[in-house]
Amino acid sequence: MSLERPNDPVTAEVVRHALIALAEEMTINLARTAHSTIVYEVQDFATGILDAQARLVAQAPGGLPLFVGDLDAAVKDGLALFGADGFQPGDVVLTNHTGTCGQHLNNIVVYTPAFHEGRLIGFPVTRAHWPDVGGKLAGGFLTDAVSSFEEGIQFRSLKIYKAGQPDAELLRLIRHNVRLPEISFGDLRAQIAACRLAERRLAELHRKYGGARVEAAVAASWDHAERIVRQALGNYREGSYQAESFLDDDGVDLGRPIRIHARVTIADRAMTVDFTGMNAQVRGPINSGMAAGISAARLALKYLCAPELPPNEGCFRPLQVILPPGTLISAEEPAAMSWWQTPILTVIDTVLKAVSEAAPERIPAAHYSDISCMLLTGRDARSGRAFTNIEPTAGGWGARPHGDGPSATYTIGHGDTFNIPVEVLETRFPLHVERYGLRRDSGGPGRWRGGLGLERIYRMAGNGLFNGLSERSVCPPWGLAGGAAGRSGEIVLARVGHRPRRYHKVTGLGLKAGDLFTFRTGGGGGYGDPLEREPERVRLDVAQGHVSRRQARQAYGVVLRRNGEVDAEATAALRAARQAALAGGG
Amino acid sequence: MIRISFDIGGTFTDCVLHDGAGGRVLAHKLPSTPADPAQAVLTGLDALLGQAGLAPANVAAVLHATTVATNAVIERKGAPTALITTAGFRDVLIIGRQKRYETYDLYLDKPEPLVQRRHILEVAERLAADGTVVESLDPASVDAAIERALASGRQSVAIALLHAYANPTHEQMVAARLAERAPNVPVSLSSDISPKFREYERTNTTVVNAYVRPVVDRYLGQLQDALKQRGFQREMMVMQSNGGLVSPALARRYPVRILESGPAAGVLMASLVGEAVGARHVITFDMGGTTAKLGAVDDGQPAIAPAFEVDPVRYRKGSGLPVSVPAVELLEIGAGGGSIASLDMGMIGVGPQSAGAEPGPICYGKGGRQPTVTDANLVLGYIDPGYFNGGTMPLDAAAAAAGIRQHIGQPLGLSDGEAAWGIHLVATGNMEHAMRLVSVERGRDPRRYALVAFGGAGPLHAARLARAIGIPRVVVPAAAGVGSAVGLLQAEPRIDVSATRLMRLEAASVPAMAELYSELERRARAELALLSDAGGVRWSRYGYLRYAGQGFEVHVDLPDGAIDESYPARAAAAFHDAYQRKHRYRDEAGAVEAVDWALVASLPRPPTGEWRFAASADQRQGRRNAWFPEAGGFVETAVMARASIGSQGIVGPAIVEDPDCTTVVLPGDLARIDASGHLLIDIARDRT
Repeated sequence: MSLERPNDPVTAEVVRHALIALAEEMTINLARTAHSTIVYEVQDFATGILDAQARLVAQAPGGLPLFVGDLDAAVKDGLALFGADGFQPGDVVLTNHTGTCGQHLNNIVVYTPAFHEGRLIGFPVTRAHWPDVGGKLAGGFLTDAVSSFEEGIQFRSLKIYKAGQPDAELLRLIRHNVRLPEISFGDLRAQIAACRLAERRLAELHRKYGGARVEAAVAASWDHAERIVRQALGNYREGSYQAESFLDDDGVDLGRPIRIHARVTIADRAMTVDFTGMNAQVRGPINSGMAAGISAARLALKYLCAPELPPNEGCFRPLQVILPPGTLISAEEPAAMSWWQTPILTVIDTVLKAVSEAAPERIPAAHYSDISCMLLTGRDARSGRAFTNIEPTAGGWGARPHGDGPSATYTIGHGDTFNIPVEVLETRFPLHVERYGLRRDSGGPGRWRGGLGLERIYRMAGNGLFNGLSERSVCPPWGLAGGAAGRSGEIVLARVGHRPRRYHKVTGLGLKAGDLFTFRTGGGGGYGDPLEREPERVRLDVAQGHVSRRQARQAYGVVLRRNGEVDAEATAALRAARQAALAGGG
Repeated sequence: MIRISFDIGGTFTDCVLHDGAGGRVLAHKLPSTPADPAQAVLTGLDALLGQAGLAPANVAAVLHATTVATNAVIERKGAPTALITTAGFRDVLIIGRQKRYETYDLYLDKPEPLVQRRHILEVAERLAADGTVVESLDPASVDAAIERALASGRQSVAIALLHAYANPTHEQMVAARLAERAPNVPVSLSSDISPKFREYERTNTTVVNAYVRPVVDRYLGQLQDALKQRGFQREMMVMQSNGGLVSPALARRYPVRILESGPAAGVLMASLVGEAVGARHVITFDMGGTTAKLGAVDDGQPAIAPAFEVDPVRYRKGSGLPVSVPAVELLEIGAGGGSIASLDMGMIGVGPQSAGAEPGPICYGKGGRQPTVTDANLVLGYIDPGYFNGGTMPLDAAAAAAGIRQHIGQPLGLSDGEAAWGIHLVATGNMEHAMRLVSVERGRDPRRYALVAFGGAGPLHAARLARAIGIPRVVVPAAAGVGSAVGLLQAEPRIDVSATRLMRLEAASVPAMAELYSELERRARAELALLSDAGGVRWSRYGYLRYAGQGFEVHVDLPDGAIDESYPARAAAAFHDAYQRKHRYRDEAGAVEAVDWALVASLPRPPTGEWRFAASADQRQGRRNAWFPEAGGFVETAVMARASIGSQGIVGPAIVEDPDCTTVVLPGDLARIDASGHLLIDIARDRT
């Protein structure tokens, strides 16, 4: 009977589901037992299962997409250092090495080897953002670091448990090099528990189906994913396309734009992403390593070809990444990486922009592409306790070929995360939020309008040290097919007794009670000619407060009467004049 | 005492009558009449009363579960609603919690709020987290907001101000002003509807209440009138999401509490059946045509969650509108009898797309072309094509087999049986994952639980699931087909009131704790006054607590008794135990913080007496081929009507047929019927 075959499709499907479910269970377990805000509220983590050769078997759909398909790098380093025979049941390995993982040091990878009947059958892996890893600034998000040494301590593939026994000395070393050891060790315990759970489940799976069947099922799931991606690639016109974009600067050499470049070639149901034209690595802390650069290309492919498919090794077989060492996204030690994720977002958008030439009807305009993150540290006078608040802000997404872009939505690099409610924020930190709302006129005008960014105004209710990062002011989120760009984000600081000042990057600024700071995030780009937007939609946008009357007239050529209704004649006349001027000017 | 209940669903209205004196239970199922739901109810009740030889005046209690509130949200057919909120926070509903529930989807959309931005109006005021007034309420801004709401034709108003959970005064002032200006416009206050922190969830909950309020008000009013006219003298009681009953007066004021009315009654039924068969711990499994719903009963009590989502997309967490009112804990997944099986690049996938009732599975012969779980179950021999829905709906087994062959079997090189088995197994795998989340992942040890299966397809998959998870016993209740209506008959009136107050469990908090609980009791008593048969109240406390610094709380049943110096320690002990049950970890030295505090007032109903379900006269016994891989594929299998099994039981493989569901008994498992008519299956221990 065919169901007896080791690779029968029914067992394959059941095992594939079981493995994905397993990775999800790790996620749930980790989120519920972790101690730091960024893990449990922001869910800044990833969980997955690798096989004995560090190939991705399954990754939980939650967690951060930025971590897609790069969990393998950490385990490969361990395999290289310890050897394939160098693991014992009960080992726990910890790493945040920039040369391996290519991310900021706060991202701590913890993994364990899983065994069944004495044989290594894979590695459950977790990555979680620890609130602190030492370095010169609590929390680690330095905007002015020029090497990893300022950013914190590196742990390269440390076996913190050996055969089930904790290594007290290593743990002591870690404990005294991080600022919030109780929270970090709480997170560490949660990470280990999630891995241990997965070890048990993996072994159960092998016991139930036998190793050969599980391995055959995994191989089948990779082939399956590969087929899906290749078929989807068939939707894109073959050819070679390129796109470029710019970041403002690296936060250290201010005002020196950084070039992002991608050449994408689609041929024979395969995709090559060539990052050779990428800026060289920079002094400031926005570099990332090779693993992160490759992950950016993988993530773009996933968005393009297999959004619903849980990621595994097979998804990425049709992808070739050309990435020479020493670029912004393949930086070498000791490059600073505190804000590694910011450029990655624009890298992904740039790859999508290149591909938009291959399928204009499939790709939305650019999104705000910025973490827009604030980091506030200090001691809360009310409780006497130290606090660290790290908080990204949502922004606008690009308009689509057939619809407006979503407003106030986290970036393409965010996943299954939550923002922090104002009512929680105010109990936890000496902050008072004055406004948290949509930013009118920030969406790029177009036949379809880009989504709106946010404005959030905070008043300090105590003292603290402020860091903030806002990007993409020289190259705001672009429109497509004639749509205009969305507005860029910015930070405005209004200190008591000073004039308000506008910033994009702020490092270590002392704020006092009463000082105001405002975060504004960018809007998404528009799609299509704004003069072709139905006037009725513009009227509704004005009624809803998404667009001002002024922008309605200037960008969309729509004239509204005093009662808010469209003045059809005046609109037609204004649009005709606008088009004539464009034709004449062009 | 005669009690009568009706559960109005989208397709069917189930009516059940229970005569406490003799224990007789009568059931009647008839198509719903969506245009005028009372019509089906009256027809059904007439039929039952006629059968029992009783008149409406003999009935001591009329109990009701309804989907009217949920449907109003899902179909976006609520009242035009305005939201009044704090200046600067107009966009709370639009910003949401940012959970990108489909991580890699470039075209992801957030849940659409029930109120458009232009109907969200701001008033100048501000409270701090502890409820102190930072900026007093500006009356001019209130008048302006009210003016705009009325001018734009809003028929219901929600008021949700920042930190109002800590101080309701400003909300109440806005409401008072609105009442002066427009006394007929119903108002929902966040400090009244859901006084808990986290502004998005609280605001949305309040808006849902406001949005469905006129609809539910009209609906219940009409139903009450119709029942009265027909001669029913006792006031109807309505099931809430928390598994307790309320008076129509309260349901009309707090309709957000009855969103999960039907499912709550189902879980309640499962808990009572569990009790009847000696199972204090139950996983409930209700599988119908489109979805499967899983719930739990711990130590005799239906598990209650502090919040749930209404109208989620593809059952993804974070994709629906959050509602922060206590509801039976339910996990719903897109796996039902109608779930469509398809091949996706060489792999079998099942659901979440469903063929529904129209066109339905291929075997219905109503034009369905894609194979479904029901088609697979038919091919596997689990379902009798001549006895579906009691024989009223003949099924086309040959067409089902041909569809499975064409879409699954041939492309994969599998026989019909193997392909159907593949569909069955994949569907079971999806449910197994969900069941693991409900059990193991929430700290429930499956070995201590019984699985109570109901719904048209639940009993068919239950034994296989129980084996996979390690649950030792499956129970298929008598009258499983009208389960929610049966649950209603046994429900008690119950009121949950709660409040957010962040407090460490320490001696210094005792006065604040005591004050909080007297405030909660005051609120509960005010509501009890609106319950028609108040008296003999039973009080209990629970809360949501965590280790200080964590962001996730666990449900803790808090101790009764005086709130004195010893109370923090007693509460902390309860927390440590609850936390350990859930996370297998405790930290006795860790500081404990309470977030939400809740008080439950329930009114124990009089004993309902005996339950004798009208046994089907059907004594059919037969044999047919059914697929059991552990027995080598298709094997000749005993097929019996429930009534013919008896207490001595039968060892599987076997198939037990009721008119409205089919139960599969796996090889080696023992099935028997208990005195109340419930079907019990003991899962063979070494097979799990």
